[in-house]
Amino acid sequence: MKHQVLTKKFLGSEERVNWHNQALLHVRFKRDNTTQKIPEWEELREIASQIKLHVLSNIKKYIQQFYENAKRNGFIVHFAKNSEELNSIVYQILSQNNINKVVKSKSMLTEECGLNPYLESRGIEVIDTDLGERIVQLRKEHPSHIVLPAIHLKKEDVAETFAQHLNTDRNNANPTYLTREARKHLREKFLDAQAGITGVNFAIAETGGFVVCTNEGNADLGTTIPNIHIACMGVEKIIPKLKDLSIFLRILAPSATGQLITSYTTIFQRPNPNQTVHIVILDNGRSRILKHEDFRNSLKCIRCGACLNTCPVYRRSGGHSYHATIPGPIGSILNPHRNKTEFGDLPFASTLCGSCSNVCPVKIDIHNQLFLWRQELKDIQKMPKWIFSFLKNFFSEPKKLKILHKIARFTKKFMPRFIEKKIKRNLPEIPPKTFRQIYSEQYHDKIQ
Amino acid sequence: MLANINNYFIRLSIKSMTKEISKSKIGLFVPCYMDLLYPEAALKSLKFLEHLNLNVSFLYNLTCCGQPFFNSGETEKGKFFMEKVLNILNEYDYIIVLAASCTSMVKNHYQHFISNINTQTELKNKVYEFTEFLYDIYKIHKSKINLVQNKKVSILYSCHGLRELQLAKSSELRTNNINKVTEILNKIKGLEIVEIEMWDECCGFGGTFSYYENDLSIKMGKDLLNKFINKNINVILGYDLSCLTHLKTITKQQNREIEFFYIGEILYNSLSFTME
Repeated sequence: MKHQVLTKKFLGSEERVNWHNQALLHVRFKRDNTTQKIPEWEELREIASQIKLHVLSNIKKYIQQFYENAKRNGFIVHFAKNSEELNSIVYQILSQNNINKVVKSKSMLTEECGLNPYLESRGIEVIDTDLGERIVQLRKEHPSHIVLPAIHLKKEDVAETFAQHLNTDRNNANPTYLTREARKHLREKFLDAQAGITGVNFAIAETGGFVVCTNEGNADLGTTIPNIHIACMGVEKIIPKLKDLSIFLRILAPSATGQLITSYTTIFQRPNPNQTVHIVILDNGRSRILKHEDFRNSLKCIRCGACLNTCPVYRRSGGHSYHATIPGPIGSILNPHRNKTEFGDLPFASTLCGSCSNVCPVKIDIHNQLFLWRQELKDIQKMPKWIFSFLKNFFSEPKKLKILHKIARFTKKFMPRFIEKKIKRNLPEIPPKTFRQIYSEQYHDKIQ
Repeated sequence: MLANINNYFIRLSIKSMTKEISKSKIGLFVPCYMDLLYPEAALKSLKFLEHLNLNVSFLYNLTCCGQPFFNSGETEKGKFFMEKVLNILNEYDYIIVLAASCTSMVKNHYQHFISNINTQTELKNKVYEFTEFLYDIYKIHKSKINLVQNKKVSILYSCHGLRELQLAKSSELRTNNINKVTEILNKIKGLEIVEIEMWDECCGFGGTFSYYENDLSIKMGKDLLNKFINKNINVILGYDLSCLTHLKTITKQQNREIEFFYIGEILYNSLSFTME
């Protein structure tokens, strides 16, 4: 089971695990501090959840409404059934306009589709402009977090990477210095770019506009200078009305980073003069998830990353251990839809503690879905089948439980020390009498 | 004068309520591992409930709630144990379970496999975790019970009890949940309860998780144990002996003598005639 193997590797350096754990906890605590100052926080979560469920229950109507209003605004709207179609549509737009230099702001969806390698293999340079994304892009790594792509890296790692690719001072790991160097480097890319690709945080059906939130303004720079803007969105990003932003914009940033709102929150309502704006709406399995009563709640996700920051397993295993575009708790319930064999290990990479469900701003019952996924994956999980048959047999009735007790006493007595050493645990003592035996002795007249 | 009348009516209503509860037929569900590993804790919990004048019968034939099977995706095997629980439901007014994760499996997760709404409701109304029952139904925090034990302790808030049964308020939420566990333990005179940092982080047991990801399970357990050690705690209480056992199996490596107790044991030991 992949997650276990990768996690074991990650755990190899306890010092690094503790550092990674603290880094994520820091973000979780910032979320706590901010939400503590919002007395109606639980109400906001409930309303946001209801709005999302309402949209999912009426998705066709809202897609239609958004499509018509977006077109009326002058946007060109495309529909992509799957990632191949999205990549192809984006490539068509770029090649028709003789574009070979593109800047891209954060879009987990384009990661999901593998857009970068697709375009790069066709001769198009794609520069990820979010600082964390740029760092992992230079290192040829995948992001390890959906909001903080480079959270697994220390500033010394970044200094090393920038020294290699941007000719900075290898020995200067000062974050301000590194950021200023990145800014200089990215400015050139913005100025050279012939198109800007962005994601979409929210698409408003009522107005046909869409919202992009960043802290670096890279989406704005990337869509103001070039005269082609391609916005990629999952179909579940649609919300009914402009006023619904008063709920969603109040829960997104606090959950993601502990800010009240991101530094840049832009509502794109119509193309700039001399600019063409394309919106690509992607399905890629989302409508299939919608059909599943057990799992459709996962489509409410607004990609805030709060569940990753709180997860005690994610914090100590890192995003790469999930070997998927979207890691962590939400990734563990989304990825198996794509491929049960490849991602079937993920729902078992959890203690079902429920912290994720509690921080989710749109009340996705993540830990519940992890449990329900397990019911579909019994052939993937790796505990030998005979153990379950054995346990079922010996738990099935009091008589058998008594035999199990004897077996356990015997095994513990003759348990070689090396087994306890191997599993790194001291197994508990097994008392000479079971509760049932003691009960029978003391309450013999009460036994039916 | 008015205060006295008010108090009289409160005492009267508690008296009549406890009279009603003492008429209820209660079944005691002892988790599989408690029967095998912690018979004393189960016995003391039973005796404590009997001390409260409750009509409690041990559910001799209920051996397991099915959780190890359901959690591993062995749905059919889990249902075998679920059926046994459902079959005795209508014979009792309440079922008290001596572990929170087992209670939550029955109360919250069986419903995924049962279509009958009446059965789902019956499960929610009748099945209680030990602490939950004492607070919600028996209202022990309002009673006049005399409990004494001079000990400095801390509490392990196992996740299922904390987040699925709301036995306390976890730090993610902005709700007004009461901490039922401390409300009950505060009745014990002489008991000093120390809170640790990040008291609601998972211990890492997770049942079969400790098999699938043993190294991570141990790391999580170690991290939590260290939080207790940092506050010089030698006694850890809990409402889920499975989590406590997980910590116990790694305590020796931390070179510390720590005692682990089930909450029912502590309550029984605090009764005046059992003063230890």
